[in-house]
Formats: sequence, C-alpha cells, structure tokens
Amino acid sequence: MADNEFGLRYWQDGRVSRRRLLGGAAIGGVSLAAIGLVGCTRGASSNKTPGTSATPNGLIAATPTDGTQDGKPTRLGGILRVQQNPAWPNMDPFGPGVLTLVQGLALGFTVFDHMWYVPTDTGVAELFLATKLEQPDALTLTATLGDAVFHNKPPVNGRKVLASDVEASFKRFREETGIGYDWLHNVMDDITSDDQAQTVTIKQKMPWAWVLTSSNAGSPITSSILPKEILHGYDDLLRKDAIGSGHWTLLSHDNGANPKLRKFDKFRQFAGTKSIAGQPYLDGIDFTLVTDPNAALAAFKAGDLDTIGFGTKADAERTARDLGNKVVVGSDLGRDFFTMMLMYEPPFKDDRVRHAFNLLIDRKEAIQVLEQGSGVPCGPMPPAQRRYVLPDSDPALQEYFKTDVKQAKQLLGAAGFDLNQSYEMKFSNRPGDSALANLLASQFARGGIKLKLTQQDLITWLTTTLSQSQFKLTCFGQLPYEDPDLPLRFYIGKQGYGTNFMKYDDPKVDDAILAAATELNEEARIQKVMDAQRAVIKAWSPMLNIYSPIGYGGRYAYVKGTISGRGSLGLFNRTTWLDKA
Amino acid sequence: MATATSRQLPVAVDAGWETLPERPWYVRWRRIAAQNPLGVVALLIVVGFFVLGLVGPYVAPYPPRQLDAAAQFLGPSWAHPFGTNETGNDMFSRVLVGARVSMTFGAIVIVFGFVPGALLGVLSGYAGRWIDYVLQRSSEAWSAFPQVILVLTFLTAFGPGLRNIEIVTAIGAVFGSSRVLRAVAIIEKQKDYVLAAHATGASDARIFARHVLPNVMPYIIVGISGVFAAAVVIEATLSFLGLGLAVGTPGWGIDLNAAIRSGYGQQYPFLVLFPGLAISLVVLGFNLLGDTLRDILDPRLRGSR
Amino acid sequence: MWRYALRRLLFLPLIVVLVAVFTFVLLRVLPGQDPARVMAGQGATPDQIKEIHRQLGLDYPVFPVSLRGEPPFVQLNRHDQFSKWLGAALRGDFGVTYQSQAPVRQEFARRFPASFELILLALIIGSVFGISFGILSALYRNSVLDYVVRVFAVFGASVPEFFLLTLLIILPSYLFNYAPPIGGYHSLLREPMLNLRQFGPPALILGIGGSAALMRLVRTTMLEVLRADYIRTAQAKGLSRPTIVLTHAFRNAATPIVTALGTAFLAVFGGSVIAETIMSIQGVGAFFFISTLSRDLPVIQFLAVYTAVVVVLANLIIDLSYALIDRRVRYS
Repeated sequence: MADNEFGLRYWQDGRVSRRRLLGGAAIGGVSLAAIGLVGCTRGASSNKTPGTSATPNGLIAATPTDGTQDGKPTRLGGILRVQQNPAWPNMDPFGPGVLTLVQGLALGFTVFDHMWYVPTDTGVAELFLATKLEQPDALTLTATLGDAVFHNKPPVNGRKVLASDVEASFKRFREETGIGYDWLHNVMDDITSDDQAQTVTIKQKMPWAWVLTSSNAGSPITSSILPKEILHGYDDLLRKDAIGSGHWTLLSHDNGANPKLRKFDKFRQFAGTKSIAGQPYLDGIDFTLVTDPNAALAAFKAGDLDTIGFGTKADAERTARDLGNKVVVGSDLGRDFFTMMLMYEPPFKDDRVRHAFNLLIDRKEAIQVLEQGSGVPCGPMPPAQRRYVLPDSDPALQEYFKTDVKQAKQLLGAAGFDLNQSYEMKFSNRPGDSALANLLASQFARGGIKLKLTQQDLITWLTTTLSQSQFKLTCFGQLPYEDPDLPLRFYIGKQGYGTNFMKYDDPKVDDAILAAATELNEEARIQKVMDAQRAVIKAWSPMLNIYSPIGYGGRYAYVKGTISGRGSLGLFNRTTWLDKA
Repeated sequence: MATATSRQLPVAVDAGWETLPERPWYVRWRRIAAQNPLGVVALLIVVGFFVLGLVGPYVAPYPPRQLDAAAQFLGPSWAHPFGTNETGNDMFSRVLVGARVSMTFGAIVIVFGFVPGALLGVLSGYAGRWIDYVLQRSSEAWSAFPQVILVLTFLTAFGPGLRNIEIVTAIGAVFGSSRVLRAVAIIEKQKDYVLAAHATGASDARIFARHVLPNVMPYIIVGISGVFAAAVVIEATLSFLGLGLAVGTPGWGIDLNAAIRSGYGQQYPFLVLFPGLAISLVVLGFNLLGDTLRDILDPRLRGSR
Repeated sequence: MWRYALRRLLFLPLIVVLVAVFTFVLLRVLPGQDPARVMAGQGATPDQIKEIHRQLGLDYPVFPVSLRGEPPFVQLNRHDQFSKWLGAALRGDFGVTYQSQAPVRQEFARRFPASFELILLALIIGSVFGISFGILSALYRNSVLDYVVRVFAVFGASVPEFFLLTLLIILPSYLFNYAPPIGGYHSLLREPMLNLRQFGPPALILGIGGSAALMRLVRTTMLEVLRADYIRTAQAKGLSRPTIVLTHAFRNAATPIVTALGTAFLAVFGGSVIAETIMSIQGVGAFFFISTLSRDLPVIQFLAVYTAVVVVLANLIIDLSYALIDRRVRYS
C-alpha cells in the first residue's frame, strides 16, 4: 500500500529501521524484508544466521549453510508465513526511480529467474538457468540456457524462456537508472542472443572482473528475466502482476500488501548442471504486512509468523529466553556499513585534515552508543566481505582504526585547519543517520572541531545533498552491498566508473581499485582488492567508514533447510521446509 | 478552575472588571488568587516554564548533548532523575533545556501571530467595513479546516523545518486571535463607557487606548494561554513526526521522536515518559490559567470552554 | 429548510474549485520541492527530471491565465495543468498517484473504510462519554463524580494525543508483550475481534481526548438549563427527574452541544492523520501524511478537495440539526 512502502515514510521507516527492517523474514531464507530507504540505507535483505544463540559480539558470521544441513525434507508442502515490510508500491521492476528497489528485489528473488548468482561466501557464480558460462576472452561472456517456461499467465501463457527474453530484459533494465545500474550503462557494450542455440552473449567495453556479481550483470534486480512481449506497452500489467519463470508465482496481493506466492509447478528442475528436482519444497509463502516492529515481534511470539528479524539484541535475547528451544535465534554481521563523507575541497582536500578527522572517530564508542556493542569497525571494505577485507592485523587497517585526539590536533594544526569556524554536516532524518551525525559531532568536538548539524528530510538529502554533491560533510548508513565492488567504487574519481559523491579524484586510488576490478585471476584479484584498501587508507580518502552493525534474526525450529551465511543467495531459497504437521 | 469554591463566589466579581479598579491592584489580585488556588498553581507552572526557558541551559546538571558511552540507558536515579538515553545524555538536563525550544516557539507564535492578529481583530471589530469582511471570511475558512491537514499541506509546499512550522502556526494564530478579539471589541464598542467617552469628545485612539484596551486585556491573556498551549503541542507533534527539529537537539517532541523511532523507548519507557509529561504539564498550566481567567471574567461560564 | 440545504450544497462546487485553486497555488506555483526529484531518485540527470515533468504534465503552465513581465502582462494558455485536472476531476478522474501509479480514487477507496471506522468509533466513544458524564456531572454537582469529571476534563485536554498514542504503543508492549493484530485492515463484519483490537485503542484515545471539551460544555450548558425557569415549572408540575433531564433540559441544551460535536468531529478528523500514522493504520489520514512527505501532488490535491467536502457537509449537517432540534430556528 502506498503508505508504508518505499521507505519514504520517515515515520515508519524510522521506527523500523534500526535493524528491524533488515530482519523481516530473513531466517526463512526469504527475507524480502526490505529496503528501508531506497538508495542508501541499510536495508536490503540481510541474512540472519540460524546458528546457536546470539554470540556476544558475533564478530564471525556463522558457517555458511546451504539448506542441506537439515537433511532431506521429511515433509513437503506447507506455507511459510513471513513479515512484509514495507509493502511493495507496485509490481513493476522497472521503476519509477526510487521505488524500484523494493519490489525489484522482492520479485527478483522469487518470481523472476536469473542466469546465475554469486554468493558472498565463495565469490563463485552458482548457475541457475544458465547451464554453461564461458568467458572466451576478457570482454566476452557467453551463457547457454537450459529449458524453462514462464508462468502460465496471459499474454505469455507458459511459453518457453528464450535467450532473446534475457537480451530484451537486460536492454529494458538499461533504460532505467539507479544504484546497481552502473554496469549496464558504463561497462556493458552490448548483449546479443541466439534463440536456436539458446545462448546469450554479453560484450563489455573493458575487462571487468566483477561482471558476474550482484552489482553488475548478476544483480538480483537487473538480471531478472521477463518475457520480452510485456516489456513495452504493458505498463498496467507490469504494475499489477509479475510474470516470470522463477520458482514462485505471484498468486495475489492487496495493492502491494500481503502478497501470496505459490510454488511454480513447472519450475526448471535444474540449477546449472545440478538437479533440484522437487524444489521448492514449500507450497508457498504468505507475506503479512507488519510495519510496527512490536506487532511483528508479538506476532512471531504468538506463532503467527514463522520467522522474524529483531530490532535489537535485547529483543533477540528476550525471545530466545521466552521461547527456549522452540526457536532458533542467531546473529549475522551485516554487509551494510555506516560512513561519513568529506567533500574533496578545501579545507578537506588536505590529507592531514582527513587523517585528523579519522583519528577523532572512535569506532568502538560509536558501536557501543549506536548499536549497544553489536557491531564491528569497518574499513574501506565492509568486514562482511570476508574473502576480500584486510585482516584486522594488517598495519594499514590498524592505522585506520586508531583513535588519537592528540595526534589529530597536531595534524589539524599542521594543516592550518581553522578551528574557529564551524563546518556544516548534512544528514537525513532517518534515525540511524541523525544519531550518527550527533555522535560524530561529539567526537570531533574533542579535537576542537565545531560542526553545524543540518538535518534534512530524506528525499532532499538523497536527491540533492548526496546525489548532487551539495555538502561539505555528510554521514549515513550504506546499503548492504552484496559484492566487494560497489563499496570501493565510491572512491573512484574517473568518470563513468563509480558513484563518487565527494568529487574525490586521486589517480593512485583509482588505479589501485581499477587494477583489482580488471584482474581476472581470482587469487591475484583478492590481493589487488587488499592493495586497493591500503591505497584508500594511505590517501585518507574522504569516505571514512565507521562500522558495520550485527543483525539478529529468529525462526521457529520447525523451519528447516534454510540457507545462511551466503549473502542474498539465501533469499532464492527453494529448500526451506516445515517440519510440522 | 476553581473547583471547590464555585458556590461562594462573590457577586462583586460577577459585576465585571469595571467595578474593580477602585481597589489597589494587589488587594484585587490577592483576592482573586485566594479564590482560585488552581489558577495560582497554573500561573506558577507557566511562569516556572518561562523561567526554565530562560535559564534552563544554565541550571541543567549536565550538558544536554554530552556524549558518555559509559552512562548509556541508566534508569532514573538521584544522579539522573529522568535516566539517560543511548548517548548517555542526562534526560533531566535535556528536558530542562528543552523547555527553551517550546517556550521560544510559543513566544514567537504569540509575537508574530497572536499580537498582530489581536490588533487586527480589535481594529476590525472596531472599524468594521471591508477589513472586517475580508478578515472574517478568511479566518472562517482557515478555522473550518482541521489544523493538522492545513499545516501539513503548507509544509509540503515550503518543506519541513522549525522555521516553516513557526510561520504556519503564526498564520493560524493571526486568524485565531483576530476572531476572538473582534468579538470582544464589538461588544466593548457598544458599552456605555465608550459611548460616554465619545460623547465627551474623546478621540478614537484615546478611547481605544484608555478604555477599550484595558477592558480587552484579560481576554487577550485568555487567548494567549490558548494559543500558546496549542503552539507548544503543534511544535512537539511535528517534531515528533520528524518534520521539525533535528534529532539530537534537546527538545521534548524530538526527544520523544528519537526514543520511539530508535526503538529504545519500547525498552526504556522513561525516555518517552518525561519529555511527554513536560509537554503535558506546560499545556496543563496554560489551560488552567486560561480557565481561571475565563472564570473570573465570566463566572457564568465557569468550567466551560 | 430543504431549500436552504440545497442552496448551501450549490456552493459546494465553488468551494471545491477554490480549494483546488488554493492547493495548486500552494503546491505548483510556489517554489517548493520538485516531486520529479523524489521520483527520479538518486543520480537522476536534468534530462531525466525533465522527462518526468513531461510525463506528469508538470511542464505546462499551472493556470489558464498566467502573468508576464511585459505588456499585455497576462497571457492565455491553451493547455494548462489546472483546467486539465478540473476537467478530469469533473469526470471523476483524479489522476494516478506518483508513487504507486494506481488511480487516486482507487487508492483512496481502499483506505477509506479504515479511516471511516476510526473516526466514527472515536466520535461515538467521545460523544457518549462526553455527553453522559457531562450530564451526570451537572446533575450531581460538586459530588466526587463531578470533581473527577472536571479534573479529567482539564487534564484530558492537556495531554497531547500523540503522546497518549505513543504510550499506547510502548506500554502494552513493554508491560505485557502485547501488540495490535497484524495483517492490515480487518473487517468489522468478518473479523470483529481483530477489528476491535485494531481500532478500539486508538479510537478510545482520539474519542476521549475530544470528549474533554465536550464534557465541560455539556456540564455548563446543563447547569444553566437546569437553573432555568421552565425546569422549575416542570419540577413543580411533578414530572419525574429523568423525564425532566432528558426531555426538557437536554433538549434545550442540545444546540451548543451539537456545535461542540461539530468541533469534536473536525478534531477527530484531523487527529486521525496523526493517529493512523502513529498506529500504522492504513487509512486516509496516513495516506495524506505519506503523500505530503513524498510530494504526491495528485493525492494531496484530491485529499484537500475531499477534506473541503467533508468540512462543508459537516457544517451543513450541524446547521440543519439546529433546526431539527430547535423548532424556533428557521432557515430560508
């Protein structure tokens, strides 16, 4: 329903956003929970780990599980009941604008099929509809599709999925803009298809090592496969219904609220070369729109929802205590992270000034104050990207995490930083952002820096302040990006490669990041990503990351076969089953 | 509201204000005070909050925005009577300092909304003619609409923020006060002493300043009480909805907003309770004060609105 | 009287047009937030913004007549936003919302039942509570009951509604782990229990908040009426007390009470915006709030007109009920 939907709803968004949004239905492996704010919140579906009870500092995400840990399902069928928040504005994955993320992601994980997906834990593409993926050269990618059919709804009526559908869908998504569309516009040169051979060929303008990942050609939104005949001229149909070839069909929804998904009987019985016969095991998923976190928690406790995302660690612990071993409560380190940006202009153009600002940031204190200790300091790469993040022992990262007021004052003095002036920090009125701004103001005050805090409404902040680089200082919570590509792209100054809001331009940093992005060898790339992080730290690049929060989720013990610790892969879950009558 | 004393209310007061000026002012006020103990309490509350608005930041035991991670979410105690929030801010200090936001807001609305409106109302009641007509029609239109909807529509056009809320609330106050004062002025205009003064050849301005204004004054105070209370609620409500002050600023509405939106209010209800009680207390003070004055002005309407 | 009502109703279209003009000036002429920015989202280029303007028809002049800086100072516009909107509105088409792209009327119709019930329930609770306790308090003047009612009336009018609603969210959850039922709007007919759990508490707060003023008014009016000569006459005639109170006294006190009910209705109507927003009720009020945040112009315009119609009708009903209650009132 249009009220709760796209997180424009400051009120709702706020009340929900402190991690509650994330949670939603995460544990069931079907968290379409949510996007708090489109464009830049923590928000999208974060996966909660159904491990043991909440670990005190849950620094380590639980061991990845793939749905087989509970063995073969002893019971098929049943409907999983999960929270929906916010409602989906409509069913159109193409927009407009800020709305796309909500339904685009939600439907992308369920109703629409994809050629492949890259989970965070391995970084290796898992094949879906594609049975073969070849990279004959650094610029070309060829996917061969297996046999699948679309949902049986007019005007498509269950016809076969063709390679040209993939081509048409990619091209249709390229007509839109937004975060995660950069690859389509800047890196992809062309996409062609051959319906006879069922092959899709993507040509890139440059070698791009991250091509398969979720902010590139493997995006859960923009790699969705839709039937080509409805891509143009069917706006009304697209808004009301979703026709794909994914494992769920959209049965019904009440203007975007309380959608019901049902098993697609003719879903492809393979994933790449593997057989997935019989999946999905469930008959369907029923979403219930619950915007009030207390109501959601109460509903979970009352058994009206099978899964829940907790707002706070305290809620998680209380629930675990109240319900005992009837539920499984777990925690997972979020891929999202809080950050602050300095405009790359005097006085912040001076490395020493940015270094001093970083020295004044006390990340431990920030985590304690803003998250009650449930978080991990975040360097240039969010710590949840375990394969790519610098180890804590790395001298560069230790330097980054250092807090030293005295040294900061010296650096500011050396740089001739004017402490008599106050500097404007703009931030949105999302509670997480405004709380962070207040905290940073207090921390910078220790170094004698005066901040003028300007709170803006979310829309103004997002569309004007951030997007049009109209700030000196700003801070906010970033979305949980799935791959290591996007977090680094914020630093790239070179036109057409990144989303740099700080007017930052350091060729050394650009080179280091692009060296990693164009390195096709996996092992070498990991090293180059680490080098890029060191380069960012060395230059005191003006996006200073602060911390990543830990999320808490829970599910009833009878919910089995969930996937966790594998990023959003768990959201495609087809292996969940209910061990109850 | 003078609850228990209503029976023995002397007739002298009923006769109106004209009879009173003969006695020294303190005798008069002492009498009124003795008959209206609740009114005195109300006056003390209101004056108390005004004083707090002035000196709040200086008497607060802690700086209201002092970051102290070690003092997070402490329950109410002697050291922190209202507890502490997530940044370790002392909520008692925040509530004391927050008085400044509400009282300033109210004062601005009075100065830029109520006062011009009151003058306009008296003028329009006194002068009549087309000024009266225009003012009446616009103020009728304004007050016909639910205020929340009006304010939100205006904020859509001008954008959120305290300044814009002040402007919209002040516009409302102009209409509100002009309506009340117009009615009062019309009544006053026809009273004997005005006619008598006219007969003696006194100028309009002189009659207005010497006779009409003093008689209208109590109504003005009643009106101010009402508008002030309403203004405090509007600011708190809109800040609570996230359209007013910035989070972190010590203010009652915004502190409530922070407590609820962060989810901490659910765990630590004292974060919600005290700012809310502060708002309620101010509004109560003004309401009681207005009631008492109304009772004194017109005992027949005792206890009514 | 019916002629009078009809004449008042004839004014309705005029008022609707005036309100529409007013909102157009407020939202489209004045330099405010650009809704296209909201829709375009992050990183939109000026061309994309322009394209959205074109799609939304925001690139046309606002009114049929616009002012110019040079003679002849006015210019007539062949196509303009207002005439287009008005023309469509006359056919019952209020456009589509920017956000969901669904017809405004349909989005409104979906939310209307929830708001209607909340407002109605609050009004019933408020008037029953206010009138009955007002009468009792007047009848048993200076009793404990009277004292309680009067204290309540002052306190009830002082505690802001949003604070009470906030307490309503946090206290049951804190104390009893209780939360209202989930799943959107539950129909009163099909799921009465869920429905009442959903609407009861906020309606109670809205209603009782509004009843404070009503209670005081009923009490004063009744006190006055009870003192009047005809009541003494009735008493002298030996009529029973309930008869006197209900037929004579209340009937004569009814006119100001109806006025107060009208005020209470407007208060509850406005209050529903805040109540629905805080309590996550998917009603018209919350729809209005979210639409102002996202600058959804078609929705705001429609709801402004809707509010105007409600306000005008409410006032008309109040005026007409004066005549029904008191035969001395005649309209011509």
